[in-house]
Amino acid sequence: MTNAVLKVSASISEGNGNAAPVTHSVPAFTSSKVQWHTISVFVGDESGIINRIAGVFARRGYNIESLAVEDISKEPQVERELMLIKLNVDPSTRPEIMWLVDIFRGKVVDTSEHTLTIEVTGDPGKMAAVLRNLSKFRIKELSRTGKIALRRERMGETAPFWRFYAASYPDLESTQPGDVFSSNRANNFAGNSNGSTNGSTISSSKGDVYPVEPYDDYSVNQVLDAHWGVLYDDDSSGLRSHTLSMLVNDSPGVLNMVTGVISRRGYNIQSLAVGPAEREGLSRITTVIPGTDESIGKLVLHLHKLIDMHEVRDITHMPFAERELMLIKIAVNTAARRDVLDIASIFRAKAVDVSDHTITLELTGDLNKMAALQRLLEPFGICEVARTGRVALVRESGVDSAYLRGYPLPL
Amino acid sequence: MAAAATSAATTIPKPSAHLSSSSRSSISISRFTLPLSLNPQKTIPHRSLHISNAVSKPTTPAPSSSFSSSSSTSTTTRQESPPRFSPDEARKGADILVEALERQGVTDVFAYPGGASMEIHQALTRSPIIRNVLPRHEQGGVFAAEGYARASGKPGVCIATSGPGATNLVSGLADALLDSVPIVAITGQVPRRMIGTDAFQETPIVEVSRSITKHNYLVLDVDDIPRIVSEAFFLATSGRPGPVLIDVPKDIQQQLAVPNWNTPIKLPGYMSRLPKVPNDSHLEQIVRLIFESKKPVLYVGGGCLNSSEELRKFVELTGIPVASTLMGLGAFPVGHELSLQMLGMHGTVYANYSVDKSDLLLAFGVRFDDRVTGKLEAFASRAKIVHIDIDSAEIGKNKQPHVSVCADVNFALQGMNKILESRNAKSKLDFRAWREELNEQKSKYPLKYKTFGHAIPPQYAIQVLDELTNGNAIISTGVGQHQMWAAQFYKYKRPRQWLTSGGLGAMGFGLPAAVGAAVANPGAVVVDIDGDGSFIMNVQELATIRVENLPIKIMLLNNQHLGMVMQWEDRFYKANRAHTYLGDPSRESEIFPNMLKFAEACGIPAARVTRKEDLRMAIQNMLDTPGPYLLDVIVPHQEHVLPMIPSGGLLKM
Repeated sequence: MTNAVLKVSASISEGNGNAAPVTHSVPAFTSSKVQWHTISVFVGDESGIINRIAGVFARRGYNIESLAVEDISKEPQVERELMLIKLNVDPSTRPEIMWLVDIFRGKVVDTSEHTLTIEVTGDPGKMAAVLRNLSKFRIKELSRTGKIALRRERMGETAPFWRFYAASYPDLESTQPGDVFSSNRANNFAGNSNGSTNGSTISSSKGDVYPVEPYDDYSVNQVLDAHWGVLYDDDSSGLRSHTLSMLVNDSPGVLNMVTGVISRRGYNIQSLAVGPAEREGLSRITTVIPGTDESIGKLVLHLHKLIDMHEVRDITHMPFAERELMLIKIAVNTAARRDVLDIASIFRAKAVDVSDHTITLELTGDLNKMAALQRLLEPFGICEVARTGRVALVRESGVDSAYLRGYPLPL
Repeated sequence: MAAAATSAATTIPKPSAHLSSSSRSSISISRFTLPLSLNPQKTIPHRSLHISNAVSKPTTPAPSSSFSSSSSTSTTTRQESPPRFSPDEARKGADILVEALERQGVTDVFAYPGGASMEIHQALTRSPIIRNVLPRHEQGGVFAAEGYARASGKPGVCIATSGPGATNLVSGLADALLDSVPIVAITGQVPRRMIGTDAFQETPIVEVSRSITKHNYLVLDVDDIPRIVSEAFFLATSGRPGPVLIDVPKDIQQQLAVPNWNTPIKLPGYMSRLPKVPNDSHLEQIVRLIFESKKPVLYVGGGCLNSSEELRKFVELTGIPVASTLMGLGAFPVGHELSLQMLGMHGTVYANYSVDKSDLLLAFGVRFDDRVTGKLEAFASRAKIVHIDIDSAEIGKNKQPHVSVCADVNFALQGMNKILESRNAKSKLDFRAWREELNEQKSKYPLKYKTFGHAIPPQYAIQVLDELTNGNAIISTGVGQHQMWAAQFYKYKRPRQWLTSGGLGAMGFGLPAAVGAAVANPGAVVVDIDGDGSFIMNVQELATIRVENLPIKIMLLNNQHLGMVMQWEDRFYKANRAHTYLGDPSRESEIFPNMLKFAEACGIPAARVTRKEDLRMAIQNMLDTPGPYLLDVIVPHQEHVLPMIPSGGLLKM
């Protein structure tokens, strides 16, 4: 891994549905001129897919940082990355930090006596500048999503998208290649349901090679909800989304190893974000996995067995700040643009690219906010969505509004 | 780490092996004697023959008078081998790799050459310390390395080339992971520039083996070799042992470099999680539970193989009966009156009875495998469970313990023995009533078998072997009925005497594992109890045995069937034979294949025995014949392994 370290950020956008082929491959492992290539891959929402993709990179010795269907490095593009930084502060340095936060248009998400957690979005260059400026205050923890990117639209083009809405473009023929994707899902279910062709023999004889019950009462918790799928409160079985924060060595194959353990043991990844951590040579992986406290506890033990793993923490039951970044491209003609911008301003989303047939917005926030915005923009026609996984840091303040919900506070 | 260190007691010093091997190689394979390091100058012209492009400048001849401080430690015992390179002399990556192995104390490797590992083999010929036992299949190599490790406790090393060589290691790696056997597998890889191009004989073995190794490495810098090799050996032997794979691209094997042997290992996360010495208060708690219990039973497994002394002391102090898993056989002598032998699906009735009726289950170094527990809810349902294991992920994985300690069983037993002694447990603890209850079961349901006329019951063959070897032989097996019989009827006296593929259940394990055991224990009696199906899966290793003249006895229990599957067919599929007959269907009266001819092809003496009366003589003859021997014991296929608790079933049979 001496030369070509390909920075690819692993952010899986679940909202966008199913697998599509990667069109451009990465350049060979030869030149000493290292370039960062952004490759978008849209993937099917099934257990193990992330691992397979990560495997392709790791096998060739590349280091991963953004998984979304075309090599768009050479095209004009919107690049954004999200970073949560926890800093040590004391009264003397606080004003300067606040000033810097202001300059970089960051937001404070949590504050306590000695620490400050801030959220910054921007392109990789800005991230580097932020880090350089803040490094003197001693960065305590750092969680990054890695970069996501959407292509900038040229003026006067028609939409090349694979999921446009006919309503937005009545002038275009509806040639939706979306059918390909739906068949994939059907397969998925077929794969689960068969396997008990010999069920009668097994149940009557009581003598299968493995001591398991027949398949009927065995339900696999596949994807919870293909779109958002997060369970904040546990349901009756104790199932809920757990947020794990891990520190790993930054070497090729680590992501694959981590996702391998998760998929091999039958867990499903809802969200995954990888980025450099506060220390050189370490990466922080933030991932969201549904499970019960017990099953996630076992997963943590198995993750601990990885040699390249430094630390795993299940921060679900601690107050933590979580943020996610979304770039969303909406098909709107100039006529409807005003409406979209109105909605955007309510959500404090920023317009980052505009053409005569689309507009691209950038939004940070927690998952519910993403979902709400996307739902509102749906009628206009969403062309593309790129989301980072969630990044999360424990709140030093110890306060999380989610925990206050049960209390009779005046609202 | 401690696990590996304590086990050295069973091994026999190596020098004799070396003498024999070096003398043999000088006779038979003259081509390989040339680059042996007796005369360092000679290596130079030889090496220039196969330089391709990486090496441009000729290396200066080794002065050989100067000692490098570290290599002198490894060569002090052998004055005829001066260091091959001066400390600051650049050498090939392959030579660095081989020297790194020497520094880990490796004396034997199981390596099969190929395009991408030639350099390593060339370097091996320059090593005066390491002997290569050439297997005839990479799978044989990795199983032999496992046999070596299982029989000696030291890490086994196997080497294969890229592509098919590497993929042939897969079964062995998976086997070593499931049975926690320390092995280090080294594979050649295509040159770095060609990685990812689907080059000739390229497989991404690091990817392939990721989920079946404890850890693996792709070497991308020649300077990393010393660190990676020492990390690999440390990982393989420390904590819960397991297989580690090192993938070395060919251009790195050829690259010249000066090794820095002082690079420290970098495993901060792993080191911080290595199990600590057990907490005394937990051990006190366990002892208290023992004092409170009326029907305690020990359930010991492969984790106890390095602590048989402490285990025996613990049993003496407490008088608790011992049931063993398949992997744990020998950790406590099977013939001991407190031994309940094996438990689980094919375990003894009394062992399973004891677990079922117990009120305290002391699970030491075990993982509650489904072959042992059957239905989890019904397993030890009346008992409090104490679980001690070195791997924290095992604790509570299948069965929730009441008290658990994550530690090396050896330390835990030491601590508990100390507490028990201080409490004067021996005179206070009294489990006589419980032992009598079990003894009654023992006499009511002993291990037994039926006899059909003159036919040889396979169980009887193993009993006779046990008698004639006085229970002292190292036994390896394949997988299937014969494996279970060998587990039931041979009375193992000490750990590392029983080599079997437990977790993975890989057929073809027996013969190569015996090779490894014989290499690790020259002079010991090694018997491969094999089935006809398993034997033929790695039959090519007969050639290895002959060439290395390893005194391995093969006792083949030949029933012409894939016995264990056949047994299941008999019980659950109305005896419908679904491709489980391994003979020739057109000539069922004859034995097919003729195993004796396999032996003959490799120059190994062999005999067949079909009548019960002739068996004892035949086995005695096998043991008396010096060198390898194949005894084809024809047994009836109607035999079933009993007792048997089908999965999901309960104890009641």
